Amino acid sequence: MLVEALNLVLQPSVLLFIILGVAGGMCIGCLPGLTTTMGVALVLPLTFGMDATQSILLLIGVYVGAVYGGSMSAILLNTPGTPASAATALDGYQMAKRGEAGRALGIATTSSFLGGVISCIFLILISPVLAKFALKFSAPEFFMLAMFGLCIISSISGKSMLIGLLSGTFGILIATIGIDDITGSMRFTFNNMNLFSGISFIPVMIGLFAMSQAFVGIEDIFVKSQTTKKLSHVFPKREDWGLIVKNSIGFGSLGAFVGSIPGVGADIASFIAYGQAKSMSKHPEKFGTGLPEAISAPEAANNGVTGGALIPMLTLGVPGDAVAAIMIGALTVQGLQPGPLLFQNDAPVVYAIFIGLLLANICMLVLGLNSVRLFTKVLSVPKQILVPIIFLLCFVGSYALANNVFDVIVMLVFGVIGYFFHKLEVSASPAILGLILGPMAESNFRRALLMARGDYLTFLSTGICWTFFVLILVSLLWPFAQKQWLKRKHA
Amino acid sequence: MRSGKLVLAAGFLVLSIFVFILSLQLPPTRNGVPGPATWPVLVSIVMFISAISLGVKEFFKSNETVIKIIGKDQIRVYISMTALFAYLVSMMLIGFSVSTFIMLYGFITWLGNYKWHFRVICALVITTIVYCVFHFVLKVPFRFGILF
Repeated sequence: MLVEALNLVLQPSVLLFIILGVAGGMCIGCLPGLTTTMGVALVLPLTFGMDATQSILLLIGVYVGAVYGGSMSAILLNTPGTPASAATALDGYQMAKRGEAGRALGIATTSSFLGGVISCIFLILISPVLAKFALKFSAPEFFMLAMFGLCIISSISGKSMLIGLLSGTFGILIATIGIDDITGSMRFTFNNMNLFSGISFIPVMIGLFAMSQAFVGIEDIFVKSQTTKKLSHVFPKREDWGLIVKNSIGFGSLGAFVGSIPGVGADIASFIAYGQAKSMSKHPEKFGTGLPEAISAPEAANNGVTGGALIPMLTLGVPGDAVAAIMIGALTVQGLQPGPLLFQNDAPVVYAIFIGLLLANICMLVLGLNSVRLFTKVLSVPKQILVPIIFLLCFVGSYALANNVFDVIVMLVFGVIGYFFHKLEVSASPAILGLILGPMAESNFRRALLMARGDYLTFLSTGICWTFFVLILVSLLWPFAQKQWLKRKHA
Repeated sequence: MRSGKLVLAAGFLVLSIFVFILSLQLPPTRNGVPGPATWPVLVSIVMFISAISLGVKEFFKSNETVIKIIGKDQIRVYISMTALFAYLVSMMLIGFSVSTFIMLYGFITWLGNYKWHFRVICALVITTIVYCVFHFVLKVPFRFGILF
């Protein structure tokens, strides 16, 4: 198995795609306004002509590179390239102001690398066990799992659980469009042939995550970034290494754990890590003044998320975050269905993903330590040229999926919806998760009821169902409990 | 923000009612086995309840933060949206390459402050690269429009 996976990964073309992915991701990540999700969504159409391993490893490369790349602009410009690097900016920019930009970048790079490696180890150790366990799942368990994924994402992502639920149900309803798999009835197609096979979620994702962000980019197109700081050598000092290793092991593991919870992304993980590092520090009052541990902790955590987010995606078919949702799209296009059966039917691809993630992290370390000056040059690309290019890539990318202009229209419509979602602080992630998990939830809901002859108690018939039921209740009640706790704390 | 959220709640409320009514026209559940309408009906009920709850919550909220929807910066976004719909139509009528060149040249001219020859070269180079990568490498056919 390992030999087969190594054969898949160690092909020159695959290695090249990993390197290109990481380099491209670093460029995307370091540009403020271009998020990791947007980068992966834009690169996705390029993978349609590739084989499964090349496709998924290119996307993993972009993912790893972009999560790390955000730290460059966070440290040099005090403008996080991605939300995941916002915590890094707090102390990173202070170090850069002191003339220690190179040291700060070195700490960020090595911590990101070690955090990524730790998460990769978690992925390798946990995924096969979880996938084996998930083989015991039948229709009721899969339905409850899908519901748990939707509930936790609705309650965690965004500022309001109600808005999260609305966004999630919106995604589920879009997924109901098309011919019903079980009865063959037309649902909400309005006799439009383009809707018979439903709305593909890839143009929706490109619209919601890339096009809408480009519209936001148009809104602040004339906002100028500050000048880049000069860089000295980018390598951590000898005294920093102990701290980097210690923080990376702890906070990388934390990131991997947080990443494995559906809906909790790298941005939340990095802030949790920053808070934890501060509370564990002997001098918490110095946080915010440019401390190496305040860079190391969030960077290890946000790259730790990369492997963690792949755990539920590969083993259960439930994406850990929006990027993992796009990767599900990439695997589906390649004819692979993420979930426990993936480990049985396409094990070499799964192990190739493990090895590829490790290689992507090594590549990120090498590029980060050697070519950081080159990547910071990307910061000088004017938005006036970048935004029209993103428009074009969104158009061509959504068309390339099925060579169908209808997909371009879908992308454009969802780009407009995504822009207004952004204005109204509605998180688009639950909508995408609804779109992906909706069909899984519905088909298992109906199959379970068919098997149980309409008895709804089938959804509470096993211990696994009960566990998910309790988790659903906890995820729905958690925001209220948190609010009450905060109220009491402030009173 | 409060009025924005109220509009959002109203929008989702209308959508949930619309889906509910449409679902009633689908084949019903038989012998306890759910039909194609069951799932959309359940989801639309959850959406309806969430929209009502959001509406009530926002209605009694006092603090009002402003969302910029009709400022100078936002009008630029709406113009861009219209331009992109026009680009889509022109792509189908005229052809991919010519429309893309015009779209890129238009946006770079409008948003930037560059000399005309830089704008032409920029639009030409981007169009050529994207066309070559998608058409020749990824084999995406751009066969529409009277030109190319």
